[in-house]
Amino acid sequence: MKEKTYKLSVFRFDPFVDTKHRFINYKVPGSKAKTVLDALLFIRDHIDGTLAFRASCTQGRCGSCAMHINGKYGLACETPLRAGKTTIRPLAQLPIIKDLMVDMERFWEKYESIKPYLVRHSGEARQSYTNRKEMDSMIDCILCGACFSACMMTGMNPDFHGPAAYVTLNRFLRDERDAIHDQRMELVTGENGVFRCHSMYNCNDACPKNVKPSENILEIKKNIV
Amino acid sequence: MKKYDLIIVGGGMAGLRAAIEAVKQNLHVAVISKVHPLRSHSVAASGGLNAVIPQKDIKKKNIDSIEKHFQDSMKCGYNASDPDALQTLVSRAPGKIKELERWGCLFSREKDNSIAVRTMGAASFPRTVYSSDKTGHAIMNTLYGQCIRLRQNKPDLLRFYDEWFVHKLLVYNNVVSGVIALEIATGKMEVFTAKAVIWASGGSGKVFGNTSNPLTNSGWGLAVPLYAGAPLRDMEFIQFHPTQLSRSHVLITEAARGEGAILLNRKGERFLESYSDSKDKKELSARDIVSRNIQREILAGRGVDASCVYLDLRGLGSRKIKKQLPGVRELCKTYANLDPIRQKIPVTPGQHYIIGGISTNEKTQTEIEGFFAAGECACAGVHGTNRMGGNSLMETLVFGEISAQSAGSYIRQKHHRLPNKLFFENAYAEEKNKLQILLKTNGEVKPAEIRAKMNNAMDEFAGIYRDGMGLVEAGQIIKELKTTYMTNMLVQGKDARANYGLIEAIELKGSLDIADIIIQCALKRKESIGVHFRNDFPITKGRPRYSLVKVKKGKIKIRHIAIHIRNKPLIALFSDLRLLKK
Amino acid sequence: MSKMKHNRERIHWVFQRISGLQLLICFGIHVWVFFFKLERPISLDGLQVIFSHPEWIVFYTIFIALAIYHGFSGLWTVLTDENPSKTYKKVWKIILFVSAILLISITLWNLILLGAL
Repeated sequence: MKEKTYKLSVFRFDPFVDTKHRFINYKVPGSKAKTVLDALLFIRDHIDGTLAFRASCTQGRCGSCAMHINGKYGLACETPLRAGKTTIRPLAQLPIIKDLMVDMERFWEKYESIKPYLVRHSGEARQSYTNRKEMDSMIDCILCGACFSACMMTGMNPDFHGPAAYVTLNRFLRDERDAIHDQRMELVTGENGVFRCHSMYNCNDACPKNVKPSENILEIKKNIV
Repeated sequence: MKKYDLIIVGGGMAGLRAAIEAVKQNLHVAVISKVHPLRSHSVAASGGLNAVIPQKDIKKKNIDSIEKHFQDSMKCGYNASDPDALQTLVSRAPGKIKELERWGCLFSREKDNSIAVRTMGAASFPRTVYSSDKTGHAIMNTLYGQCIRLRQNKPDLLRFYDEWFVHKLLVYNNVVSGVIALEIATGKMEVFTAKAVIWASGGSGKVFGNTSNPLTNSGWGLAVPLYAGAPLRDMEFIQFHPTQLSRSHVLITEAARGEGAILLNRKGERFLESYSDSKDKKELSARDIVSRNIQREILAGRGVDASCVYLDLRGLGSRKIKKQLPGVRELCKTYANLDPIRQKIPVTPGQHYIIGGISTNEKTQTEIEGFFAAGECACAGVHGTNRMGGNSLMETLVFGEISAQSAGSYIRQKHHRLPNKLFFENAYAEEKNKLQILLKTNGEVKPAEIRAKMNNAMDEFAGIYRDGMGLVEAGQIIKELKTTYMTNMLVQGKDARANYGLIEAIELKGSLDIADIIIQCALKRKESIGVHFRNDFPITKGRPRYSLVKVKKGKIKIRHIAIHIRNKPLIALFSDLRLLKK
Repeated sequence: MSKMKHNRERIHWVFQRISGLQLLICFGIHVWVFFFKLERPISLDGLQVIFSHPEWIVFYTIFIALAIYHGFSGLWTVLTDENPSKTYKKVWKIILFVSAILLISITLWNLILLGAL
């Protein structure tokens, strides 16, 4: 019986050497790979050791391997290989370090700028059961950066915080124990803030964890008004 | 050359907790991590962390206490835990939960707003605090948030070096003096000098093939301190988690069994009932027992697909699964294409946790002055010979904090003089040279092929059941692989910049050495205790001893040392017996 | 201190939505007028009948003002999305403002003329 092979077309670009990116085709035996990440690892291990991409947990939990696969953002470790060619590109909007590895600096900077930590009122109030339950939907974000890349506005405006940061922001705005509610609002109401989002829902489509950043941003807007 | 008071290697839970504590002590800290802290494998921890929290019903006669936590852990580890270290862990645990709660960690809650707890394997009370089944994720985000807060308030004290790969630990006259690290994106090497170093590099599971560990846990994290002269302890004790998804090795948390899932063989029997050691607690027996019995069932031909048994969650009902175990459902859907609400999950035991590690005392000090270790990479003897589910997350927090405190007092106490510049320059040149040699290798065998062979050997011979013959054979294979590594390896990328192939090749050396040590330790221990089971020596011998590994002139030296048992914990150990008599 | 600026952003967003909603209502009425109130075939005389009533003139004044406000503030959003420099923004602000005022006054003038004819 002839073994099934998967065809991959992988984005390659080394900013120090190349002037233009190129797509290189690889063939990966079906017995060695089930997911896109398996295939990429197979390429790095057995075909071309210079392919650069990030990967860690292989279980869809760490968020390292977000990339653009067949026209859709997703985690390589969660995306099964399909028959036909699989085209893989790096995350958009961010500078490329090499091949599929992008510089996430700006993403983290924006995430940190919204103060992703709880500042308590004095005393140690307990969070209530209902308040905790409200947060179930927004704590699944693994900060993979897929939404940040899919978003039109992060591309146009380098000061826009991006969907992932707003999800985290909304989690803290909703937290009944948080003491710097107004300060957080100040941060994102400005010209480069939350009103730059035009609800294009690209982030919802891109999110591999079904966090629905758009809904969170709408909530923030309502909250502000 | 970059100068710091304290360098923390690893940005997982232990590393971040240490960083927070160190900044609070006004130390100038750098956290060097191979991946961004929020990509560490701590985020994948799911079950929860053990701590005795105040009981709601105080009138009840039989209530949980710190002592009972101690006893459970001790019993689970077959009385081979270091009593001082374990005492530290259990007594500081409740405080850690309070602290996380203060920092806003989103624990799951009961309807009366109190923190919810669940029962994990081998525990006599429900005392595992959790956040549905994404506990690690919740805690890591909280800790990282706190780090950001500290950095925003005191920007000059805390600095993160994400995606820097630590290449060497610098030790001069048995005193730590810094590390040499490689920035992955640029391929640039840099010397970091420090008065103290905290090692929190995490697990080393990728020595095995059948493991739930991430790609980053290669074994290098244990190898670097070993090369620098820090002895390793208890390396033969490798914990195998009973329930991993077959093939993809994705972990199905113990919390699933804690919530009431059961294990079935091909005939649909709840087979744990038929083994004497798991008859009482069944699915909630200690991990080593469940893993062994699953393996026995598979070997007896009653498994599913030759290497699995079924984990059945259907009895829990869809509401409970959606609320308490959403992550499990998600993973099953993605990686096994089934819905646990309606279908049974095929699971198999797999490597999960390295109980051994850098030998430390209960203050996280090692034999090298100024060098501290915390988390999975360290071994203070907390877990004895078998780890209780939920103790390791607590260990990272408790000992992460202690390590920074110890480092802080060490830095303040002593007058530190760094070795002269020449020492650093030489060390830098040496490491640079090593890197160049690796980049120039032009043999035939790729690192991944060597790793695959090593993984196969370890899975086959150093797994749940071991025997002398197999271990000797595995040792032979590893030896051959080491020769191949030195003489006939191929590194394809010729440029250190963003070269993960190169990183893989560097780490492989560590993996091979750690694999060798695991095998030698397992060979040396001619008894069966805890997670270490020898077919040729199936009984436990005498008093519990721990093993200590040193490498001298390229030779592995293993000693067995009896565990010192203080009087006080000993009384604690037997106090429940006395209670029973009354 | 920066509260003013933030308020503007907020008010802008709210008015954009409010004007949008009102536009929808006005448009509904407008459609109703054209389909049921006007005599067929549509002629200038028919229109004049409607525009001779002051309430309709008021209605259409509001309608057109809203439409122009909504359109131009939309254009302004597009402009801020492009993240331009400050001077660039100032120039465009003046251009947009002046042209909006001009447009409104021209249409108003025409309406009044239509009614007066």
